[in-house]
Amino acid sequence: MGVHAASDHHELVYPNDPLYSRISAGKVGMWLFLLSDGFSFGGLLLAYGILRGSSDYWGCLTNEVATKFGCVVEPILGINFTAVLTFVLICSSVSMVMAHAAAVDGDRQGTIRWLLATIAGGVLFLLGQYHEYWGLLPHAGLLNEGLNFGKSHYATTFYCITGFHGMHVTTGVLYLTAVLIGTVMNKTDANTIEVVGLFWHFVDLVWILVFTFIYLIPYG
Amino acid sequence: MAKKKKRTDKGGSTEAKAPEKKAAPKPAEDDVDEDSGPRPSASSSSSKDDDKDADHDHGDDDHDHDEDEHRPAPKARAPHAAHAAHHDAHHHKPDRKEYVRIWVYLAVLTVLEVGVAYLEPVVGKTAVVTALVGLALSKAGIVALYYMHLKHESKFMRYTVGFPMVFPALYAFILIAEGAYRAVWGDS
Repeated sequence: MGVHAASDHHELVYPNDPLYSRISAGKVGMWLFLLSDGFSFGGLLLAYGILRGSSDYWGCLTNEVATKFGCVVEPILGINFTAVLTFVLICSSVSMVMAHAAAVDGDRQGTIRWLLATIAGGVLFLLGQYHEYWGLLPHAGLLNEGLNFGKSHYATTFYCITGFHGMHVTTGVLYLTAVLIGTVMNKTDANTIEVVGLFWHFVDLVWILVFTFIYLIPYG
Repeated sequence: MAKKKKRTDKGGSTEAKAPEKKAAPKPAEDDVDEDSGPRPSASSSSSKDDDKDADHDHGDDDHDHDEDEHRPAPKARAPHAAHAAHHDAHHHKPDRKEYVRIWVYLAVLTVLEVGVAYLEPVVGKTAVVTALVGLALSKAGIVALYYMHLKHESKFMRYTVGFPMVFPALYAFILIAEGAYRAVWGDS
């Protein structure tokens, strides 16, 4: 079965596979990448769970714990601020599907607007993460408050997992920007938007799990 | 014939690619405007025209969707293959109302999660952890099914993505069970 250029624009017509139907090679490739990436996050979260489950205490969060185990007090992770960041990612996910819907309709201006909104959401999330780590005035930031990489499992797993996710958000913003430029130059199609969307939604999906396991599950 | 050709060009449809259609030169009036927007992809899982085809094809007894010469003849196909074709992903049209509805669900579930996280002193840690994990998995599932369009992919595509994810979950379950065993009965 071959792949045909169906029009002067070289739209690809994929063979109608009996099991997978007409799915593009780019989409299959992205899904396979996301599966491997999902295992990476799965490994990190499992390691986090094992370390947390086998620790006598998780985070040197009170003076009582500090006295008992001889550790330096560490800050508690803020839930409310991170919940706002979660909402920002959810909003960027809906703008991403809207970009795809606009692309399917052949609405280039709409696609550009929604892609810009998605990129803005990603940048806002990264700013929030920067604020959480280093602090924008007048907030001190976790690093300045004593949550230091390598000092405890609590700190190290936090930075490894949220940092790995932050790298994905950064990659997603760059990927979206490249697709946006391609769309402005009329060099993308709905499939391009859908494939970048898969990556972006995956970043959102993983954050949902990270938010729950790292921030929400009680320490006690 | 002319109507069919226009449909193919505008919607980027993957359906009804008769051999003569591919070979025939395109009339100028059917050309897609260069500035009209991103080219609707032939491989996209969505198009208006495909949706129309879906409405039509779903009424067929043999579940055959097009005249593609590259597909095996209906009689030669296994039943599961015909079923997969029936669920051809390209028949899904983006539903903006559904997207907004999902966004509202996700936002509400997030608020619920934050609220549940503060309930530990009242209901206990086990109940809170169970509720939080359930809410997180629900949210992740909603994103995968609706925003990543898994719901509209073929059954085998869903298996390809979903089945491998069972193993990390199984491993986590084994670790939790082992930890619980040690907590109750000790290391011996």
